[in-house]
Parts: sequence; structure tokens; C-alpha cells
Amino acid sequence: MLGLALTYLRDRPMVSALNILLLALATALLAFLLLVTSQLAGRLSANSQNIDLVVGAKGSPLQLVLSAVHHVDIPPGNIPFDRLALLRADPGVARAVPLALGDSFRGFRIVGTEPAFLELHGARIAEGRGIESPYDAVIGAAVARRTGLSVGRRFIGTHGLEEGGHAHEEVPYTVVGILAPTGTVTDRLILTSIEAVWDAHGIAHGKAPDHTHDVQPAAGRPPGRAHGHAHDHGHGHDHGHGQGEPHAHDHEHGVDAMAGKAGSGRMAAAAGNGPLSGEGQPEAAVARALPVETELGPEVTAILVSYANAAAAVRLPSQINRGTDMQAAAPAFETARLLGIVGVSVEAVRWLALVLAAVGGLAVFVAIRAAAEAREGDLALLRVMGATGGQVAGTIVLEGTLQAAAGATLGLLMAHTLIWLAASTNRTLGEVGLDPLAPHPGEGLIWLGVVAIGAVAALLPALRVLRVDLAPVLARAA
Amino acid sequence: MRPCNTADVLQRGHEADLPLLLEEVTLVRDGRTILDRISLAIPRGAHHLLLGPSGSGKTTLLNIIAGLLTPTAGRAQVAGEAITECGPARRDAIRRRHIGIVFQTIRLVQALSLRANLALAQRLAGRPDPALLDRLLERLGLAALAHRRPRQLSQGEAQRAAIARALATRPTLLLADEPTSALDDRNAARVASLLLDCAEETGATLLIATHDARLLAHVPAHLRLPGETG
Repeated sequence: MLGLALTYLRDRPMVSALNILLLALATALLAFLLLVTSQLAGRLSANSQNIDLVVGAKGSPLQLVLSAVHHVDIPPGNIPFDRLALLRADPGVARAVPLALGDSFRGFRIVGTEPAFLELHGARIAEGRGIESPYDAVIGAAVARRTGLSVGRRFIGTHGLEEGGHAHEEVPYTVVGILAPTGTVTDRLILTSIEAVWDAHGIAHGKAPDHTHDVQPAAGRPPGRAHGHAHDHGHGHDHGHGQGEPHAHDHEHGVDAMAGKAGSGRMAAAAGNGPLSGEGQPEAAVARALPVETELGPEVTAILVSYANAAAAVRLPSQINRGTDMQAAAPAFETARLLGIVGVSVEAVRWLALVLAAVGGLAVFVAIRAAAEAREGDLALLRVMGATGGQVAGTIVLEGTLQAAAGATLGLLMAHTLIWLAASTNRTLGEVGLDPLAPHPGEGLIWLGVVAIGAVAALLPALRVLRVDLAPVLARAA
Repeated sequence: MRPCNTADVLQRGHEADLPLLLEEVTLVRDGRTILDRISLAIPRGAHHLLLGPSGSGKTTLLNIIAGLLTPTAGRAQVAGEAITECGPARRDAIRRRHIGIVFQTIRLVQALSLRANLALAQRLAGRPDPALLDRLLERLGLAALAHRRPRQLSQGEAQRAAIARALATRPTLLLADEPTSALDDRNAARVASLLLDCAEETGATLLIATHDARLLAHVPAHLRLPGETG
């Protein structure tokens, strides 16, 4: 019966192909949405695990979270390095990990940070060792795979977070370790010391690197920064967000990004202004300690904070946002907001896919009903040859089921191909880490659902065949 | 009407040995009596023509014998199994085991090649026999056409193919409904002699319903149904 069903399908290839295509498109859309939303949510959630708060320069909180936690956007600016010590002094802060961004290597971001960053993301070194001197680099698993870098290899970072910047030839990094795959953003990062990033951008920081390079103060630079190389880092530019709409803030890369705007040493005095800065509140240590004017010095792009207690979740964000010229953004909140925005479009496309699936089912129904009527004589002959009613009806149901199974399978392949195309052609989606090879259990349900649509669509014509009185059919055909 | 004396036949053998036994088969439809108390017993190898004008109920009687119609009264028995007194599943099984049917126009499953049609018939009957299949194709002059689809065959070729398909399962009883009516004299004669020869070779008992008098030259034994002419 299976062979007969396949033969009947081959007997009308155009109609069968069209039905299969319709069901494949519906499946592809449903599976693509499932894969993208689940992978996006999973990735974003994994990236922000253990990070309760991101502190950075004022600007868009979503941009801060995207750039500092998910490493897909450009940071809003920098903050003075000394804010790190102030945060660490706060009793509500269990862990504060600084990040210094600005450079990349073949599109992978170089992140100046501390060893605690690995603990924060649950990453472990699979090969080599950790960072011991400033120009050591530990690279993520995806970086190693895609760039071919291995332990002992040296490389030069380029200016900017995207490919195409000029090379910081004076700061050659040495790969000392490769991280085990984590399924998080660390797979795509190159970790080094903060000092190395400062050195790459000629920022004096009072911490001696293990090698020397010519340090020449650049003309026109604010005091507190010295440049060891002559090129001009001051190339401010507008960059787009989301779908490429011009972004309002005039972002500056490299040295200027490292110098920062929010982090120009000016921070509003929080003492006495914030609601939590009153007398007798030890939690207000940060606010009290922040000076009205701070001399420009080494800066960081963001600080990733883990709370020490639940009360900090209530106090710290508002204290920082209202009482300082930094901003604090909660990754969980911003991620949920982002997924909520995306979710509206996803829901609309999902409905479109469901309508497409219904149309596919209807097409299968119409095609099979018409085919069953056209081959009434054939079906009667099968009965005469000894096929049972169930066998004949089963052949018809099999036809619908086979078409739907082919469509559903093709659709799943199309969905994964679409993910691959999206991740290859869209930089942001690629940076988020969409994996075209990663399956999702829900795909099985989609497959079963589409196959069920095909089977049900064929069931009605099959039941009709079961009820057919053979003698009149044979008399008509004769 | 009693086309033959069943009592005489029954005296010669047990009911179960008879490929076909009809007892008082009657069919009334819409107040009109189509078949009126037809009784018939055909012993193994005794081929018969079922003659009668159009509308006399020949095809109807074949459908009752094949279990495709239920008579108003009476019973039909094929190879000792009462096909008119059981449910659809059992009728399918009896048909599968004992009956081969050749129609005038519905000859083969259109989506399958000639060989695939024969193979499917054997599979459905649970009796795959590639050797018999090859022999039938050869015997009916169809070996070179075995991979053709039905629509690629001529009328005569298709009718011979239908005979091959019906005999591929080694049926006890081969029913043929107007197998030569659409054929010219030459093809009609060839189909008739092949039907008889192949039935002999496979051990089938042949009952041909027809109004084609040309077949009397090939199958002298006949039963005649009364009825309307035309």
C-alpha cells in the first residue's frame, strides 16, 4: 500500500510538489520562529546568568545590557575606573567585574576584564592557562574554531568592535588559553587584562605592563591619558540600532570610547540627593563616597554586578540612576523588554504560519478528494482484486500523510537553512550566537502537527471511499 | 429460472468441491425483479457462458457471485464458502482467495505498470509467484510490454493484461464480464482462446457474462438469462 501511495503521488507530480511546498513553507515559518525565539531567549538568559546589574555610562539601558552582557551593540560610553572600587565597597555588592571594550580581532570582541569574569559565566579553561600578564589572551571556543588561533599564537587587535579597524600593532596579544564551549557569549569573546586594553588605547593607568612601549602624550588629549602611538583614535560616528535606524547618540570608538563621555570624571554628588542616601543608612556608601568632581583617569566600559542580598536589588539601581551620572540596568528586565518587543512581531508571523498550514491542509484535502474521485475505477478494481476497504482507504490516508511528512521534513530543513542564512548575513543575529545545527524538541511537535494535518485532510476522502457501493461504481465505469 | 440442474451436479460431488453454487438467487430493486430464483452449480473445469441481452442481469449476477452485491433472497457459494451470507471483511477474503474478475473496461490500476499490477494482485491474495507472473505475461504475448502503463496499451493488449491480472492469483473461479464486446473479431477470438487456455493452465473455472455470440464458438456450454433486449 505504501508503494501504491507513492506511485499515486508520483503520478501527479505538480500537484504533489505544490502541496508539499505549501506545507513546507508553513513548517519552515513555525520552526524558524520557534528556533529563533528559543535560541534567542536561551542565549540571552545564559549570558546574563549571575549578572544582576550592569553599571555603565548613561544612555539607553537596553544598549548598555546588549553591549556589556550580550556583546551585540556598541556601548553608550565609559565610566571612570575608580567607580569599580566604590561599587565593591558597597555592602549590597557581592561581585563586581569590570569590562573594557573597544577593540576586536576578526570581528570577535576583545574584552579587558578580570579572572572573575570566567566565574561569572561559569567558563573553564579547556586548554592552556588563565591570564597572568597583561597581554595574555584567553579565547572562547568559537573564536578558536573560527580564527584558527591556538595556544602560543600571537595576534594583533584592531580598533573598533567590528572588522575593518586599524591594527594596534604595538599591543600584540598572546593566546595563553582556550575556553571550553559554554553556549554563552564567552564562546565568542577574547578575554585579556584591562591594562592591555588601556595600553592599546594609550591610556595611562599606573599599572606597569610586562613589556614597554613608547608612550607619547597625544596632543589635545585630556590630562591623565597618554598615547603610545601616533594614530588618531578620535573617529566619532553614528551607529544604527535594531533595524538600522540612526541612533541618537554620537558614539566614539577606541580611545574616545575608552575615555568615555559619561566617564569624563564628572559624576553628580549623590549624597543627600538620593532617597537612600540619608543618615544612618550604611547602604548609601556608594552615594556618599562618590565625589562631585573626579579627575579623569583610566576608565572601564561597564561593570557587571552580582548582588549580595535581595535588598540591593531594590536600592542599588535607583541609587545609581538617580544619584550618579552612571546608569544601572538589570539584564533580566531589559532582556524581557527586548523579547516582549520582538514577541509582537513573532506572534504576527506565527499566525501567518498557522494560516499557511491550514491552507496547506486544505490543498491536500482538495487534491486528494479530486484524485480519489478521478480514480474511482482504480479504487474499485483494488477492492475487486481483494484489497480490503481499510487497505484502500489507508492508501489514500497514506498519500496525505506522505505529502505532509515530506513537506514537514523539507520545512524543518528550510528553517535550519534560514537560521544559517540569517546568522551568516545579519551581524547582530550572528553575534547573538544563533546555531543552525541546534535542534529544538518543539520541532518534533511541529512535524507531528503538520503530518497530522495531512492525515486528517486525507481522512475525509478516505472515509468517503469506504462508504462507496462498489457495484454501481463498476457499472458506471463499465 | 433454473439454468441447469443443480441436483445432478451435486450428485457428482460435494458442495465444497464446486467452484460455484447458486441457490434460488433473487434480486429485487426498486420494486423490479432483476434476478428471479437463479440456481446454478458449476463443477471444476466446466467453463460456461452466461448469455443474455443487455439489462438481463448478467453483470448483477456476477457482482453477487463476487460478493459485491447482496441478493434479496437465495445464496451464492464460491469454493464451498457462502459469500452472500457473511460480512464485508469475509467477502473480501473469499474474493481474494478464490475469485478473479475481468471487466470490459476497468482492467488495470492506472498508476501501476502492467507487471506491478500483476504483482499487486498476487500480494493482495497473499500468493506472490513471480514465475507464474512471467509465464502469464509470456503466454498472453505481453512480456515485452510488462513495464508499460495501462494507458500505453491498445484495447486488445489491455484486455489480455486484465486476463493476466485476474489469473495471476490462481483463482478457483474466473469471472469475466463482457471481455470481448469492445474488441474486433480477431482480437475477440484471441482473447477468448487465451482466456480458456490460461484458465485451463491455472486450474480456474471460467464463467463469462456476455451478449457476444462470437464466444459460443469457443465456449459451447452456456446459460441464458431472460430479460429485456437492447
